[in-house]
Amino acid sequence: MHRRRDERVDTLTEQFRAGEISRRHFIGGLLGLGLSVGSAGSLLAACSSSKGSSSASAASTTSATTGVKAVQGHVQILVGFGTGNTPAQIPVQQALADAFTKLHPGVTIDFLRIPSSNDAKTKLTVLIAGGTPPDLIMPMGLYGTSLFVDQNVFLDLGDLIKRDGLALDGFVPVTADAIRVPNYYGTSSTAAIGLPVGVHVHALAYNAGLLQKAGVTPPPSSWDDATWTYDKFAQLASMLTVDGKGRRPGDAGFDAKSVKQFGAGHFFRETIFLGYGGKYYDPATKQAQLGTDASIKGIQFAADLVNKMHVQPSMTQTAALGAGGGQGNEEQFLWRAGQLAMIDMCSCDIKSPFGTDVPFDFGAAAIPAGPARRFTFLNLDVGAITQASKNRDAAWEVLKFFAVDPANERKLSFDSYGAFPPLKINNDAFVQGIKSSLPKTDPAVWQAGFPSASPDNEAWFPAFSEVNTLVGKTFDSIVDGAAADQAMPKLQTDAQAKIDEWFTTHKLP
Amino acid sequence: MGRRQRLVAYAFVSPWVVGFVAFTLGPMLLSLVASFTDYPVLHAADTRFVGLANYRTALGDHVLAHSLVVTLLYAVMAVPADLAVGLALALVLNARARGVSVFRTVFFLPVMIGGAGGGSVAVALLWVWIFQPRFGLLNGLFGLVGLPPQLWVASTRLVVPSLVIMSMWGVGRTMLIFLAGLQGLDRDVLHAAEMDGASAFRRLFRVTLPLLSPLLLFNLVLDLINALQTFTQTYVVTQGQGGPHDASLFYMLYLFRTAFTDFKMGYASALAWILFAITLGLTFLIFRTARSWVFYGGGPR
Repeated sequence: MHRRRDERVDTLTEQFRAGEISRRHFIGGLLGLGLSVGSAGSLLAACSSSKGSSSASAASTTSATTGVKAVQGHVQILVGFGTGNTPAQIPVQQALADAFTKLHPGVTIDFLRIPSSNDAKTKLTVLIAGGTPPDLIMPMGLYGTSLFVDQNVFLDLGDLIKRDGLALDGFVPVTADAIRVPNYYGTSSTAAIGLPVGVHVHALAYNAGLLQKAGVTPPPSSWDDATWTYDKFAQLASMLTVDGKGRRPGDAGFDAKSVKQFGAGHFFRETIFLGYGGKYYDPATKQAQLGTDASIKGIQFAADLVNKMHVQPSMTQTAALGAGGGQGNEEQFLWRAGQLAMIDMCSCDIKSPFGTDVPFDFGAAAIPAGPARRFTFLNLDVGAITQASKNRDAAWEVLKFFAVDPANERKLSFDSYGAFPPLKINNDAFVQGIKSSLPKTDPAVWQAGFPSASPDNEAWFPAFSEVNTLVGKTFDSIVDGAAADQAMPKLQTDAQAKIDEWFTTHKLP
Repeated sequence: MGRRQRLVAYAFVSPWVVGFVAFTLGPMLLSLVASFTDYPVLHAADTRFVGLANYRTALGDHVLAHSLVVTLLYAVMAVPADLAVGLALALVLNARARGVSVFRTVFFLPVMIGGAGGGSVAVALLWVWIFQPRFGLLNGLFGLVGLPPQLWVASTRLVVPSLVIMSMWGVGRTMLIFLAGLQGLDRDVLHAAEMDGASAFRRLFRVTLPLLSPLLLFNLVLDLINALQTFTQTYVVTQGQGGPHDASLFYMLYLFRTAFTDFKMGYASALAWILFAITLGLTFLIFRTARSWVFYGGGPR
């Protein structure tokens, strides 16, 4: 039944694109097939966009997606969590805001731009505490969302999504799941913390020249290769690690303190922790899960890459060897200098110095699979409306205009934020865009990683900030040499105490 | 003073009084009240009175204890360093030499940018580059004299000493106060000591320093308060993390994190009052000991 409807939708779309039917017939046909007004508008915008009439499409799409609802008020958009404030990004956002206000003359939009995430966090807190909250926060990473999720900061968009018939299945599945924040709202809830506005995923990048020089086969680009495991990764990293005298780990006389080329670096310990089946929290039992066997083994393996296998630099080695990159850019410096053979690279870094103008060819591969699952980081940005906003209706219309209208979403997600657009219909835009600007890079490997991605790396749990601090410190100490089987049970106790304390003063919705 | 004159006087002083009550005393009292509450800053409506619970929590807070140790360690290094360097500079610049006023200005200029202790964002950012391990000025100087490069603020061992070095940026304030004191010293006393055959060393320790001791006390108290409230430098240099491995998690940074990351404004208020009490206690101790080492002209030693 659905398949037949999909085929009919495709036929209508082709006919409209070919100019065989009018816009009115197209929309009428879609509505007749049971599609929501929003979905019909989205398709219309996508078709119009591909025909190159962007301004006309923006106008008609908005009418459809927002149901020509008359809204008015002032909408302030806070931009400061991670991306959105570079000189190239701002005009795209401003153009979208201008397009919206042209359609809705009763609405004014201004952007409150904060240059760093740390400051944005403080600013948001102060604005809300002071009774002058921004209306929209966009973009905002899930981590930022997690920090504020239990603080009554965000409006649950579930009812609005239902009211306007927005189909969340139009988004890449993992992004639609992530905005539900199941640890907080519950696994069966239809609540949503925001709408996805940009998403990134991680893959493994390797220095092709170093691999060739070592005579090793590059790791597989397929995310389904079951033989590509952490153990294989460690073996490969070992073959690519060389000390000052050309010896590898395992060779007689290998000097771990004078390594000049590491097999791996910038590889997230949390990836391995989660790939081993490690977990932070179980919502069913309200218990931290940091002392489980899988959690202990996972973080221990991540530490062993540094301290036992010596294939990855320690934090001190990274700071010393990568000092030329400046604070926070040490690993980038090491990668560009050819001292790291393989790194965990976010798709957000393809256009950063990690991936652009790198003085060697690099390839992309799948993140290896852990004993429990193949896990790769998801970095999702959402647009969220503040609970305390005095202009919720207008903010909702603005958010839909930016995040649901395909033509606009593509502009916002890729042209401005440089991210994968979370709408399935636009998801290819990232791959096409990167290929055209960086022909040597194949972003399809990253795109293929979405099914292995999970928001677990940034999922909310009670006492988020405090437990996260404890986790960070303990993981630091383990990677610095502390034994995981001693440090993790203590972390479990400390984290559980914080979680229990949280439940004495808070309730889940 | 007539009634009219009193009114005029009050009128002139009232802007300060209003400002003090509205922006200093009022917030202080509010934070005192908040310290007895569970005050989730983002949903203030849920605030509830918890009595002394926040203060009891502080007693068992290991992170707080760690941050206090870091702060006191910094104070133990930064305060004497500031006093010693400030005094040394003042003694040198007290000389009657040609062009000395230029040097006095040069040494004071950094204070105009960074304030005492170098606690401004601009200065902290500048120091990030001075400490830069590969291209930084400090390691460059080390290289010139054959010393190995250091990680400075990226090292758990060196981060606090690095911040002490950074605090020297504001030494001009201490220098200026000492210099003013030196300029006001009774020359007859120094001449008398010289004629009695006292060496320069003895004149410094037996005459000059005792005469400067009230200023030493003043600078000591100010430096101590500044050191205990250190925030901007470590916030900027460690990007708000107090790293590496919490090695520079100063008391004020922990307080800030409690208020704006953990959203526990009530507990953060209690921490602020605990710091106030610690500062008051240490200042009281200094004043108690001052009776034995501060000499006020005309009074008993």
